[in-house]
Amino acid sequence: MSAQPAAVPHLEIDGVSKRFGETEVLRDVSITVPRGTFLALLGPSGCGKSTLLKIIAGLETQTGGHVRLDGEALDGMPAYRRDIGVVFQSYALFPHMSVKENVRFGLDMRRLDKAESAARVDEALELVKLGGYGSRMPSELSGGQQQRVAIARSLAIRPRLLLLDEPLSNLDAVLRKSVRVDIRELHDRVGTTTVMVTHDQEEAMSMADQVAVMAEGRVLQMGTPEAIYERPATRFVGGFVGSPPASLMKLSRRFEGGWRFGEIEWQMEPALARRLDAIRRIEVTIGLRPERMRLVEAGTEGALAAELRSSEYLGGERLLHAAVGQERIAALVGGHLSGLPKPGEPVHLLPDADAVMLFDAENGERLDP
Amino acid sequence: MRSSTPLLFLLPAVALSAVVFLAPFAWLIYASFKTQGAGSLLMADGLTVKNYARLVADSYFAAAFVRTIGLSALTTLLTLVVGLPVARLIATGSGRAKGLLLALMLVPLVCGALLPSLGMIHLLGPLGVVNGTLKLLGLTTSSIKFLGTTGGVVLGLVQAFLPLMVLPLVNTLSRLPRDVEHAASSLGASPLRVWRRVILPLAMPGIVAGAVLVFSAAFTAFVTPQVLGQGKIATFGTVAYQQAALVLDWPFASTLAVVVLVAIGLALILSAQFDRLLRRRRLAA
Repeated sequence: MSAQPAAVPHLEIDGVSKRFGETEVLRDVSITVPRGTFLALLGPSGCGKSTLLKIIAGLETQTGGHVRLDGEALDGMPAYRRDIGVVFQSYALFPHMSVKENVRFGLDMRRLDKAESAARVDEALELVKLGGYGSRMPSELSGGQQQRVAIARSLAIRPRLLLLDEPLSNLDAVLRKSVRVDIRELHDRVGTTTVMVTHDQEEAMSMADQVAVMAEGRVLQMGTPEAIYERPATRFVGGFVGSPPASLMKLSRRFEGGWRFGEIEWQMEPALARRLDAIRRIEVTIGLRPERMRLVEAGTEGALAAELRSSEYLGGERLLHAAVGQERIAALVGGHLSGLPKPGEPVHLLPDADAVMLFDAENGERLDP
Repeated sequence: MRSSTPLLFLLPAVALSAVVFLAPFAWLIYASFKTQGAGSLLMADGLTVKNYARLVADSYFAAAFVRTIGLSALTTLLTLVVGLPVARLIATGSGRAKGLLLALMLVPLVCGALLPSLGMIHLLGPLGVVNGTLKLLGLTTSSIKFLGTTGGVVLGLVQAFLPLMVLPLVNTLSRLPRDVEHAASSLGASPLRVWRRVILPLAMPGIVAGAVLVFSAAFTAFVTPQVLGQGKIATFGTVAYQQAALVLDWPFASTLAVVVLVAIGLALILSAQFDRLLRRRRLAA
């Protein structure tokens, strides 16, 4: 893809807000996307990500702010003039048209000549590996195939932007993983700037170059999947990104010095203690990633004494659920470990000091730089 | 023995249906092959096709038949044109507005044919609301004659049978996913082309169902043409009424009724064929 001058971002969402009556669905959302990027809008249902996608597509009108594409304001431009391809969660194929007619629809709208449009239809269907399916009707295809037709249909118009609305949510678990790879590889081949909406953090992390985590109509953090995972900007992002989810607990400074979970004292590693001291707070929210916990011997420095409640065997790994006073903590350990403690027995868990996340106990913002 | 028991239980219902529903139809067909005894209300002996011959030969009836088909076809077309936007509004509307529109649509269906027709007289009369408004706006100086004209009858029929078009349309249109329309517009289809290429083809089953209902209802209508036509517009319904209630020639009235039944039966078969054709084309492609 040709390099675009840095001054003009490819897609620019500038202070977009949207309200339906009293409810604010989007609050001052600003995102810029460089050309060729695969961006994931990630968030729980109701966070406004689908509304934002509809606004970009022109299927919904924002109440404030602007959307620009290559510097051109799209505000007020109807969807059918935008040249933006949309793949809907339901695929939204035209049931009364064959696969070929579906893919050709956008080309007919552009009044392309017959030969050119036939070539583009074939090319688009080849791209999604549905070469021989042109004369089938949508009802004769599986869900995965229907989705590929929907993608081919959007790509055939050579869109300036490709929008994917929860593209994997209607597929079964096995197919989902392979389609994930297919879509990413397709993006790499075609190079069209892509914005995908998803509530599944694993999908967002594995497919996208950039992830924008959204909640309650705001973008909480935008960055590479690595940055989002390693340095979450808020408690919400820390808990939402990562699988299994991080344990978020309240940690308080003891009157006598040192730290405690409720009534339980924690003799943490000096490195971590120094980090906490530097923050100068009486109370913080601490985030511990299960995959960055180790099962250790009693008395190991920095280990948390907990009581095992249950464990899940995941094949290769085992997810332990333990209690530290009133708080719950999860740890992912090797599945082949023999001599695991039984539920009710004490376990000693050592968090990797580098991976410990610290958030403001009040507003949930990340504390150390 | 055991397998016939459920059928046995059905027998009373079947018998009742046969007596109150099928028997009159059978009698109607039988009577249409009779003639009236001279100077009597009783039917003469022997079966004959004289009534049918008279129907074909007498241009008054043939003209009424053709006029009725024309009126019904025009009514069907107009209800479709008016009904599509209304049905769309109901199908895509939400909450109170949708309920209110739907209720308004149902009113003419539940208050019978006479009341709306009388209302239409007030609206369409020489001193009625429509003419009054037109004069007030300076669009016309003398009253437009609606009552006793074909135009007035068609307006009445459209008003009376609009719900029969709107309800099946609402049914199909509300099952049409919004995403499909959105997909069409994101692919570059203007609103007009979304209608032509996506909404209308997908609404076809509803259009066919509504058209059949409105056509049959308009074809057999009696009260609306009688009241708004003021006896000047002879349709099949009014002619049959004259024959049965005024001339008291029941056999001939029966013949007219049988012709209507056959015509509607044919319309139904045709529409079913059309529907099947649509389905097959959708599958074969």
